[in-house]
Amino acid sequence: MSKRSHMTQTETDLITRTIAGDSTAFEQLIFRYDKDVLSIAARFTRNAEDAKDIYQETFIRVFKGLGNFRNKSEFSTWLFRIATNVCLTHTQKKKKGEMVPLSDEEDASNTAYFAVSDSKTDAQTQGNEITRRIDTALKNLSPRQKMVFTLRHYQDYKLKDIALLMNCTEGTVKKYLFEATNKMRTYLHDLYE
Amino acid sequence: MNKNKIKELMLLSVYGELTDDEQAALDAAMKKYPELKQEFRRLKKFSTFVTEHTPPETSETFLSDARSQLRQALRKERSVSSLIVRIMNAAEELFRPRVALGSIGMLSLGMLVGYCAFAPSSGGQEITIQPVAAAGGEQSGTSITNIRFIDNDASDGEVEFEFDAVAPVHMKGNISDPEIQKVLTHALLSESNPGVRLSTVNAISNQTGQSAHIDPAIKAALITSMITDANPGVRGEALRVLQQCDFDNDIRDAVLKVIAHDENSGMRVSAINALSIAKMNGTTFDKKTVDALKQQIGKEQNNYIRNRAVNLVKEIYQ
Repeated sequence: MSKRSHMTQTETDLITRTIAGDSTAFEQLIFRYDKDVLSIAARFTRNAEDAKDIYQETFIRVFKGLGNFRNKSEFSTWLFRIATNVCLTHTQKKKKGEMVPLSDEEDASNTAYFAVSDSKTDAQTQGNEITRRIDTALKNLSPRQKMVFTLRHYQDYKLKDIALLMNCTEGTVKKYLFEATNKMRTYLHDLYE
Repeated sequence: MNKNKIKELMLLSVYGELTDDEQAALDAAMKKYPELKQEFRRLKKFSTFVTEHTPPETSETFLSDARSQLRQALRKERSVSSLIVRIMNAAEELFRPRVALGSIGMLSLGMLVGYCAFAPSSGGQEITIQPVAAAGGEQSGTSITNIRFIDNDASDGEVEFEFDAVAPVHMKGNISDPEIQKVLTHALLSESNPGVRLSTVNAISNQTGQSAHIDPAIKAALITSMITDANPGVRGEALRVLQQCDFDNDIRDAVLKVIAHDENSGMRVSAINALSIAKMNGTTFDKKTVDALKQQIGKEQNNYIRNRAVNLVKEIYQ
């Protein structure tokens, strides 16, 4: 992946030590990437608790699956592919047992984690309203459209890297991005035109 | 180039994902169709708008909170993995031939001592209990469940745990023997497999076929089964067996309950028939029975059952 460095000797060493049961090696390995994983999860779900669930499930899967990692791809590609997959399946699971969120509670929790100030000026109120509108618009995208949109817009991934993470062709990614952009423009046209 | 293709190229151009050739084709198309420039500007504005409203980076507090929860989850995951490995090792150790034979020997000895000390006098009836575990090893059928670790720290080379060894028991004896009846009663009321419950009722049926007298515990179990068993086949069989017994007030009341509450119309018909047969065999019915039947006549939806109940009331009055 263009954004990520190639797997270093140290990384291979850390993987070997983790498999041998060295827990500090595992932390050293994953703490190189975990902020990005949390960021993808948070921007994809736009919810702090869901983001933490995805973060945790991703690294538990990595921990369990590390023994089967065969160095065919870079560790980071393998890790972010798992993270992407967990995000997508988390959405499906959540839809199955969907509950109406207590929006105030949710907002308060998100505020704590995304460092939004409590004292609201007019500009902040307007900013929050725009954020709320974007959230609503994103909810109208399919999980895959949302994932492509998030990775491209917010995480600045190239389309070929997104294709690699989502295990599909670049053409499919373009299609998702095109559909997502059209939908988002329809929902938000009054805010930017 | 069609409009959709041009729009796609515009989007990719905004993201800087076009090759030089594609960019040149797009520029040419926009020169040819000036109205496309307006659309391209709007697309750029949208892109800028979204970028300006990118959610902020996750805070360090959030990251450290997530890391701390992950550490806990990983500790749990490691302890589960480690416990599984230890159980596997312990099980492997347990099934080494020498250890296994020793364990089985001790188990058999314990069962023998327990049997000699606590087995009730058979009173002349033949009851044989054969612990299959005596055969030894995995062929014994003994299963190990509910392993509880007392000390799972193997740093000193030893682990300590308890487990339940469940062995199949073969029983053979007279149906009138209390031990046999205890097991049958248990099977009738607690066995989850309706086929086994049915076989149990049939086994009891053979006893009642020889004599109208029935053990009170068995009778109570049959009554419970007739009223509450989920399977109508088992309920019906229990009713059939109870019909062969002395038709006392307990059985009469239970049959009236079936007439009043059983949802299965076949069961209600059988219950009315049971009262009718009891009447023919000389049982007299009091006002309580007649009132219960009249009540049923008032609420019964099934015409046949209603008519049968009406006729039975008439028979009782004759």
